[in-house]
Amino acid sequence: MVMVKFFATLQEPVGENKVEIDAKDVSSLLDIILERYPGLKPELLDDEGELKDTIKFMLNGRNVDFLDGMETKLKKDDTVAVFPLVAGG
Amino acid sequence: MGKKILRVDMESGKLEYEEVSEEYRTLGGRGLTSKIISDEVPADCHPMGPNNKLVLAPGIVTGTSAPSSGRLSVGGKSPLTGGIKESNVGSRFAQTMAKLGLKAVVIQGKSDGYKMLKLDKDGGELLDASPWVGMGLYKAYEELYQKFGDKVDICSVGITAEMSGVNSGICFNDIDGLSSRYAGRGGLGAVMASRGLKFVVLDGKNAPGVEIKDKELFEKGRKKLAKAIQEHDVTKDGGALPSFGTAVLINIVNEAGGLPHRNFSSGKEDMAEMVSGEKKAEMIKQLGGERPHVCSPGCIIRCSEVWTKEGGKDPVGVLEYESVWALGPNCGIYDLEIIGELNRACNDLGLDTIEMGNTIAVAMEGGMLEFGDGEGALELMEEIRKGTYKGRMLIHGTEFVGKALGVHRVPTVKGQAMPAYDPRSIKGIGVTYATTTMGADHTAGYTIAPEILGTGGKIDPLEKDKVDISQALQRSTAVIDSSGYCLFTAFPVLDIPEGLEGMVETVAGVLGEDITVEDLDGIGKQILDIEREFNKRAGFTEKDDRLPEFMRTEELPPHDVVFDVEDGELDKVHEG
Ligand code: SF4
Repeated sequence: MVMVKFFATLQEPVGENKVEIDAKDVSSLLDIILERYPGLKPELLDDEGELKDTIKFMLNGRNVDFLDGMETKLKKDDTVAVFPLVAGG
Repeated sequence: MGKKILRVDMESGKLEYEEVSEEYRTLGGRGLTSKIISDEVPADCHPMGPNNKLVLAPGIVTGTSAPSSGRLSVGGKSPLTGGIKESNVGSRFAQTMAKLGLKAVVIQGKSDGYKMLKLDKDGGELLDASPWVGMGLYKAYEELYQKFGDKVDICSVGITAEMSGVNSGICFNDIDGLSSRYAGRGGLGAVMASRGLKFVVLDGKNAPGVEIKDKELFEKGRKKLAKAIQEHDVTKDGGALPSFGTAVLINIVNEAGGLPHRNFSSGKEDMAEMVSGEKKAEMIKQLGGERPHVCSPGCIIRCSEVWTKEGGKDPVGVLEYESVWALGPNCGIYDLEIIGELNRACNDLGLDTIEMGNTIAVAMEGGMLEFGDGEGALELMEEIRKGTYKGRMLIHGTEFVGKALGVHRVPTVKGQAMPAYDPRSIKGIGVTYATTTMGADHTAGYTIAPEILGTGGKIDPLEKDKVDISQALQRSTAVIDSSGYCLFTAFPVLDIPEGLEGMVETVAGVLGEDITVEDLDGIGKQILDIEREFNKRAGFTEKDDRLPEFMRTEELPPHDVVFDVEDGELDKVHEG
């Protein structure tokens, strides 16, 4: 099982801050969360149904863009944090 | 009516309105404060001595209808860093000052006793400020608003500046008249107090307003910029900034392993969620505070808020990301109510929250109190208020307290404490901390945008090749700080080219000058060169452009990394 954490505007559609999910890579994790929480669709996908470029998946503190992208493999006890576009400073 | 520069000689009490020279005509905000300081202040002077000056300057478009542009720059030689300083603040004060036709106010000399500079459309005068000496700023603002009416704007220094504490900021009113908006960094409050100036009060009634040379161009640009702000996911209505405020960063920076905990000992702790922007927004609702809110009229981003006690009582003002982190996780404190009270104490006493949080954390490391001891931290603030020797020691910055307590893990550059990003796991911000003219300052070149947030590009935070991005952002920031726009407009303008074009057109429209996007890098470089030359004359060398040794030797969990950008690379930031 992988621990998946949701932040900012993603928390409301999920109803919880964290859930456990069984997935082999980030791409299949995305499919599972979209199916389980349909309210996430407008947050995560653009008008063409593609994953928005601004969504970040962080595997154990590393943005998967700098690992193997959506193909990044997941293993037991990993933590994936999912963020919409946030900013401040 | 063209703008004037007001020179206030605190010694003679004379106020003189000067015509703006051709050299200064196209400058504003940081570009102007840094130029005047460089031209008029001997770089080797003592920051509290007779030769230092304090300069206040609104940005170029401040006071117009340009969105999110109520910004003011305050400049001087910093008693904290020993170098040039520009500290930036959002307040209606900035807009009123611009509408009164003031391009800058230069404060020089020293008065006998504390004075209040009162300005309106007809001119100004210096009044006695002694009744408010030794008083907390929340109460002082209440009294001043009773005396002058609720339409005035107020700039002030607090008790700690009266005690010459070099961690004293300059406080400005928010739109509700609370003493909560700060030009906090670099100890400029102590410089203002050392001139004998306690308050500047502005009455903007019937102020003439800001002249716009090319109204059509300005209006075209204003619309493009407003559209970009309203479209971008960060700044649009319901976006991250208006929904959660700047503290929305707590979780993402923590998850990325870059949120410093317990005096920069760890980059990630699960407890951070308890003080996150999400949690704070929820608590503001429960407590009866306000969110979103603005620091100045006309902001369409609205990142601000009003944090209160239960029932909406005793408002503090905004709890910014940096303040929450400095007074919270960095001290091992994960209780928003305690953080709110620590922030209240900083606002009331006149202290910079970033420097104060770091000071408390170093005091904790030095054994003065335990990490996580929120009540103990509040007691320290009371020691400061009472002016005990212990309290007075704590208002001279993190580096000073580190030395006093024998702590070698002191997170400062050029004497100024680091903000809320650990440079070991976010290396670009380390390049900025090391090389900016300002001392450790995240706003000087906010590489967090591409490294963590994915705005203005995407760059791996652990990758060490960050010289180019830090250089580019340091230059563009110097331009934004001069324009009068809030730095948060950078998020949409970095991603939406029409937004940037619009921003430039508003500036060109106000000045009646032909400025294009291509000119910006060069303008930014000119400002940075002026600042760097001042620092060189003040005795700075490349050795001052370095991070503390422990960040090169001590691995930061969870990524177990050190800061490994070579010294030669850091020096390249100033080339090209
Ligand atoms: S975005 Fe926030 S800091 Fe910037 S001008 Fe608006 S309220 Fe002030």
